[in-house]
Amino acid sequence: MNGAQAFIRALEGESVEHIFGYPGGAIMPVYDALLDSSIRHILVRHEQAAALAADGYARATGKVGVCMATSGPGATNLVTGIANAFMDSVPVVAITGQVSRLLMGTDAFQEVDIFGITLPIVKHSFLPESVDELPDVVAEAFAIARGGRPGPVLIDLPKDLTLAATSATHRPHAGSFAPPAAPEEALARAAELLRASRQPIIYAGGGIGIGRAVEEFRQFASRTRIPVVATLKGLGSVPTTHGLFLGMMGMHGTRASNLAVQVCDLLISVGARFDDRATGRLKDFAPHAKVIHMDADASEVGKLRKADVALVGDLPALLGALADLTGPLDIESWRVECLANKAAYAWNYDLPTDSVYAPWLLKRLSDKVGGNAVITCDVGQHQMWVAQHCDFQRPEQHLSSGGLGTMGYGLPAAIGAQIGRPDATVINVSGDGSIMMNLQELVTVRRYDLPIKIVLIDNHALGMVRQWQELFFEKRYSEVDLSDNPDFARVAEAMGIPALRVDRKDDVESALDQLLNEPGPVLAHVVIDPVANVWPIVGPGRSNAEMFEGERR
Amino acid sequence: MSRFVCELRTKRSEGALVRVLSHVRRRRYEVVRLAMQTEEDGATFALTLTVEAERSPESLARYLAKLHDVTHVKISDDSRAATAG
Repeated sequence: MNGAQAFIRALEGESVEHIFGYPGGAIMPVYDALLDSSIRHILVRHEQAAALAADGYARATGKVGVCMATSGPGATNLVTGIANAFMDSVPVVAITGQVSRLLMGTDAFQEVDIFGITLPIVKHSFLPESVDELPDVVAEAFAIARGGRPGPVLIDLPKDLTLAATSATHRPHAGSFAPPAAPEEALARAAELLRASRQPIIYAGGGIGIGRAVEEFRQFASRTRIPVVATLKGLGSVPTTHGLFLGMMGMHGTRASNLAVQVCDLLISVGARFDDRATGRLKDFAPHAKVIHMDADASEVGKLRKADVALVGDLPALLGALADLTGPLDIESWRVECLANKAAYAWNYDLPTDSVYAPWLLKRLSDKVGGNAVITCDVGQHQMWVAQHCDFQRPEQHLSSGGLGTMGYGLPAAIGAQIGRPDATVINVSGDGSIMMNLQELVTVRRYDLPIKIVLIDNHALGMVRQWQELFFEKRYSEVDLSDNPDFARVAEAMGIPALRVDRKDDVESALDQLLNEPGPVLAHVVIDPVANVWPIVGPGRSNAEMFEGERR
Repeated sequence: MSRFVCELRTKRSEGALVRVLSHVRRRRYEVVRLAMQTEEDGATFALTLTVEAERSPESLARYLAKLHDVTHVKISDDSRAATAG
């Protein structure tokens, strides 16, 4: 067989069922070998969508997502998706074609140093030197992608290797990339801090879902009965309907969450990294709290906030061990205070106009799917409203580009999620700015008849940027006017997707029912007030205690 | 601003050297002196970096230890800085 065939067989050996990709010259031998494989290839219409779909697939299923493109521009079009996976610790293997080794370094046609370009945004990368090592490279790449703190791995395939003869076969990778177990002394010290605390808060991050520690986290939270706040990617670590869940914290977090963190005396950070969107002004974040920092990645501990106790290791094991050492805490008055604030600052959906109020629409959407859908979103105001007003039972139901904040993420991610979970209800909530960035993927949705429900919230603006210019740049609006958007319903229909339009509050219920009852894909074009803002907000460089609200529109 | 020495060993794989230096730069540390050689086994690079940064040496050590091919990282004071001038 040739190298391409050995490569594809190695992917099969890694239980790969789907590849998201787009062919071209340098990768052609692999596409030829794919014809004889059980692997199902999903043809996208832009390589960026391939990488983002692989990301969504991985988040929704827990498997390694795989994307593939040719050399040169095909490879560079994967870069945003690779960076997106890197920032959110998503296991993705990105395969790129490369010119033949004799041509490398000569500025050949469609040659680009994708290995060099992606060095800062991959967990590791491979440029194989011999055809016989291809199966081992595949095995190692997958092990690295999924091991420890997951992340993307690049395999750059010179074309001559894919055409060369080989008899090498796949064998599972022998090494282990699991993090070490935490020392008992640290666990004992953490338990001591927990027992001594009077106002503890659990700060739940994306590492819980990525680290497959959801059950152990829930047991720890239930056992200690400590109130929980979550980052954007930590949403769903406990169900958002859980009685002790105070809400998302940070820049657009709930008042109850931010206030609780600001007065707590112990912050138990689990799989979170003290990102600036979550902490606000770092020196004023949780000012009275000792910190227990639990993470699979030692480099996160102490990076931004000194930890009083560092617990680095396998999160399920750490959470289990700590729960065993700690029973229910005597903090009833604290719990009562936190829950009273949660009730006092509950969301208000009354809006005395006829126009659609996006938070309320998303709340109703969430109610109708009962917290059981996979919701992907793009980036901007709609993303924050989804995080604030939709319920999630599991973290893998909420696919949101957190670290990189990639506009254009939502639709490809929804494609990946639907391919990976064909029986799930998958909803993409997007904005009029974001949807244009990968709009071509409506054709992919149609091609594979994916029953994705698309809720396009249109405020004729680059909404989040407009809000910042209103609040922090003295209403000096620069390049945020999108009033020349196309008729999205007609665009969708031209691409074979049925569509409906909603622009009145009274039409929301029937529109959502129509959307959810449609057996195939459908797009709901929802028009909202162009000057609607996301509240509350913590301004740039401010403490989370300084969150404020303006007029609801 | 602190100055310290970082000794590390990495497998001699594609791009190993540039990967290490790229990560040092990316994390906002500056290499002011560099020594590098291939070990006798032919499969390992040994690097000694003298680094200046506002950020902690321990953080850099943790970042570098995460790199797949890095097998050893050791941080120490810059003895030249202690003896110079």
